[in-house]
Amino acid sequence: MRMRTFAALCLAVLLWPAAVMQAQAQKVQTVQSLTMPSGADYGRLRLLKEGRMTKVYVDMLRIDDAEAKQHFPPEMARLVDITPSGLTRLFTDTILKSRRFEVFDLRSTVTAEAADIVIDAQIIAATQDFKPLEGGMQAAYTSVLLSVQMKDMYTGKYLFGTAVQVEGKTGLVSGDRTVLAPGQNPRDPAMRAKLAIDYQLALRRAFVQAGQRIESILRPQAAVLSIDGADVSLTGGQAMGFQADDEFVVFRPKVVKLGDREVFANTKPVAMLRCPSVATDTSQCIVLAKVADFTMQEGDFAIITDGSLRKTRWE
Amino acid sequence: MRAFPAPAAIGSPRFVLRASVLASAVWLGALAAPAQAQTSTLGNLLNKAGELVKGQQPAQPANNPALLQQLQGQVRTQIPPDLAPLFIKGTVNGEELIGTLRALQRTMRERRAALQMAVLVGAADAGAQAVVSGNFNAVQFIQEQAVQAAFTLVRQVAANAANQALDQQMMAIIDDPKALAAERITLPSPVGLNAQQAKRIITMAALVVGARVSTKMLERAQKDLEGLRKDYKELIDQREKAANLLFAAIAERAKAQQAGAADGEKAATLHATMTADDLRFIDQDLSKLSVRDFAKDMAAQNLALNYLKKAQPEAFASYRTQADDVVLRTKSYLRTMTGIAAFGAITANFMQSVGDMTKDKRFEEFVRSMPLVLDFMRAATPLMKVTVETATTGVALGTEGSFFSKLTSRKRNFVYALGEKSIDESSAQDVFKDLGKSSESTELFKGALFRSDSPGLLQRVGECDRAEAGRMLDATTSKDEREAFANHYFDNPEMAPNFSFYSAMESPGPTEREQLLAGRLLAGDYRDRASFDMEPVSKVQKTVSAKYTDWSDQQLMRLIFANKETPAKYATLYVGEARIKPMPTADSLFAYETSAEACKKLLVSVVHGPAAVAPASKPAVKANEKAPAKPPAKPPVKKESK
Repeated sequence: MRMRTFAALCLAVLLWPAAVMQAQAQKVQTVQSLTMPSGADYGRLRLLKEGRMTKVYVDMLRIDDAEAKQHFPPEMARLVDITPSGLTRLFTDTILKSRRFEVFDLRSTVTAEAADIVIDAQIIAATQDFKPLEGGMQAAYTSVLLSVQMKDMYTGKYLFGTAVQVEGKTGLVSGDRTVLAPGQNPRDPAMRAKLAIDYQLALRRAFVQAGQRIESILRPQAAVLSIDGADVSLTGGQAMGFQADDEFVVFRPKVVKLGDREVFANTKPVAMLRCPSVATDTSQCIVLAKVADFTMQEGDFAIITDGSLRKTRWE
Repeated sequence: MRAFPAPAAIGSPRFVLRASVLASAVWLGALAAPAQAQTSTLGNLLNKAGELVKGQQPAQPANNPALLQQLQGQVRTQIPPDLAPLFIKGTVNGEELIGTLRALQRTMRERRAALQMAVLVGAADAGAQAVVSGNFNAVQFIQEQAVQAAFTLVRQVAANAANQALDQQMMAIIDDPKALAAERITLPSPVGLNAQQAKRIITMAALVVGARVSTKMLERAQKDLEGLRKDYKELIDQREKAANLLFAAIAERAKAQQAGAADGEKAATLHATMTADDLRFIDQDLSKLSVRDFAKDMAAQNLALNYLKKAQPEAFASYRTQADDVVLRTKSYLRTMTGIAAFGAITANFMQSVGDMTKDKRFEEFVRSMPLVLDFMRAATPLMKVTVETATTGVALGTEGSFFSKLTSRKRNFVYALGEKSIDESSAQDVFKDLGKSSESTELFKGALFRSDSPGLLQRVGECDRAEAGRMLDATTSKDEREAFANHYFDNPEMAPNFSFYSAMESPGPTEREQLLAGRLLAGDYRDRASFDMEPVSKVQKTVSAKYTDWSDQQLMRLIFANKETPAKYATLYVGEARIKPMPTADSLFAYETSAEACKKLLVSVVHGPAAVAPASKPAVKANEKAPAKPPAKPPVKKESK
């Protein structure tokens, strides 16, 4: 009787991994197609081989150019700290928060030439209008328009066809703006200080939006390192800006020579992964879905999904 | 002759089964049945209970020397000295139980009082388990799904009982010696009870007295509600009449202007009472309204009251006196009802203790408690109904929602305006639907709920009424989500069961994380970026952003008044091009009349928006930075203007 129990236990232990694997395999959904996220770039895949983040160099243009048009009223520029170092620091800090890039600026020893991407930004408009509310009150609507351009130093090409404009605003929702009571003068020093805060917030929001655009362009990419049933290892980890539970679309590209460089001619999504465990340079993932008639292979590439890009970034 | 059966009958499985079934059925009836039907059902069941417990009137030990001697012997050996005189007396009044009521109040004042109460009256008593006999299946019965579900509901409500409201209710009970003295209760015989059981019986007796006094308060409050309903209607009528007067004055002024003539009497009064800005507002925003719509516009009514003050001072004085009185009585009603709901939740533990007695097979104690149980059922059923009503309507002990919904048959509560076009909407849900038609407005609203760089919409609510902000979080999160939050945020599984933001914000516990909870949840935005430490906060904020459409009319009202930028009389919430305004209803009148006062309670904030212009190179405290080690000082009192 005891022997029989022991044998049953041994059998259960032996069959357990197979049962678990089968259960996992059953969770993998087979789909006809998957949406390929935008932003796949063959050139940046070389960073995987080097095992490092994208090096970004940030530059604010025409801030200290005396002849350039000054968009901020002088007093506001002083209050908001519209100086080359102040703005560059703000922009750098904003992009650093994504934790997906190494960021350098004019204060660092790394020059623009040594970076992978150079991002330059320029304030092209800053406005503050007053709109009437009930009872003679007035609300300040503030806008800062930022123009951003990105250059791939490896190819020497600009990543955006034209400069991208992002607009930071305050004043659209109650409580998020300075309100002037009847008789209050916007030129009063105390009121100027409050209005300067609106400018500052609008400027920061413009930088946040610029950062989001940059993140969506310079998306984390990975390569399939190994496959074991539904378990997949990716090259790419925290060092490349991945975080736990990021999801990736695995794709198989066709690479062609275009001039003196190689580019993706087409990209065919083959599977979707979630990576619950992210190490420094690699990530352990599970297959969520696979495209019918395609089998994932080692050497396939992967790119982060739109959903994961918008997820909360843990710091 | 005793109120409980002879010892031989105590162990009878048949008896206990019937008693258990009866107790559970009565209690479930109290939870589920509509008020009218409930009374008769309850009466029938109580009659049956009376038949079941066939004991006669308890003998009064003081009048029975033999029993007195027996009890005194018992007292000397087993009953605590402070409780012995009560048992010897047999029938006591509420004043004599005041010590126990005070002890209960002290216990309730402590953090997580409700759970402690559950332990106090429902603790398992291993000694009593010796009474178990036979294979009686009462346990299985009591564990049946419906009964368990009801217990779970009550436990949940009990744990949500607001400490402050509960404390106020206990104080109201204790501070009314006349009411306490009027309540008499007969205690069971102490023979065979140990010290712990005796203490538990006295606690139950004190709860019965508390429930009876609270029920009388509830009856008085319900009578006052009738009066309030009538008075609010009258107030709104007076406001509409004032608005009609103002409309006539505006029409006279317009005619005079067209004719190039001098002001008439009404127009002159108009000029004397309105500022240039008010007149501009009337011309720009109100002149397009029909007489009917003008009379029902809240801003027009508020301006009209200014006009009335000059044109008909006596009528205005009468309105003001009545409005102040109604607000005062409303506050009193709300306080009473909130306290009753909280007390009802606590007394619900009484029934749980009865259930536990059968569950733990403490049959002797159960049977001895039966008279108290019956007393309790009579007294506490109306209270439990209030408690369960507030729990099932999703407003954690806030009777405001159910209260105001009883006041008027509301047809129009909000005005949703987009550009020149405005629509009257009946509920917050309709307003959110309107808002949802524009993805830009939706995103703006969601984005503004929590902000790190300037005060978010919920932070403003928290500045005015932190508990209300907690209710708004409760309304948009499920029980499981709240428990997962508490478990993760406090890193303490004991904090999780039945956690509610309302309770946690209304009376935060002493630890740093409890103290900082409101600030972290309301005064920063952790939805896009957060430290791992703030992960639970981030999750809750994202849930709230997704489910804000669950907020009630009253909560949207609060949001509007808390975020008003103009004097309260114009209160409007701007979301992009959309404007949301309250209509003159009982809800909005109360919110309007109390809006300045409500904001005196301030949020303890962790993260502030830039208080002064900080250089960009030295940004203000970052949203995701770890909170300071000690709680920050309270921000200065915000001045409100009407």
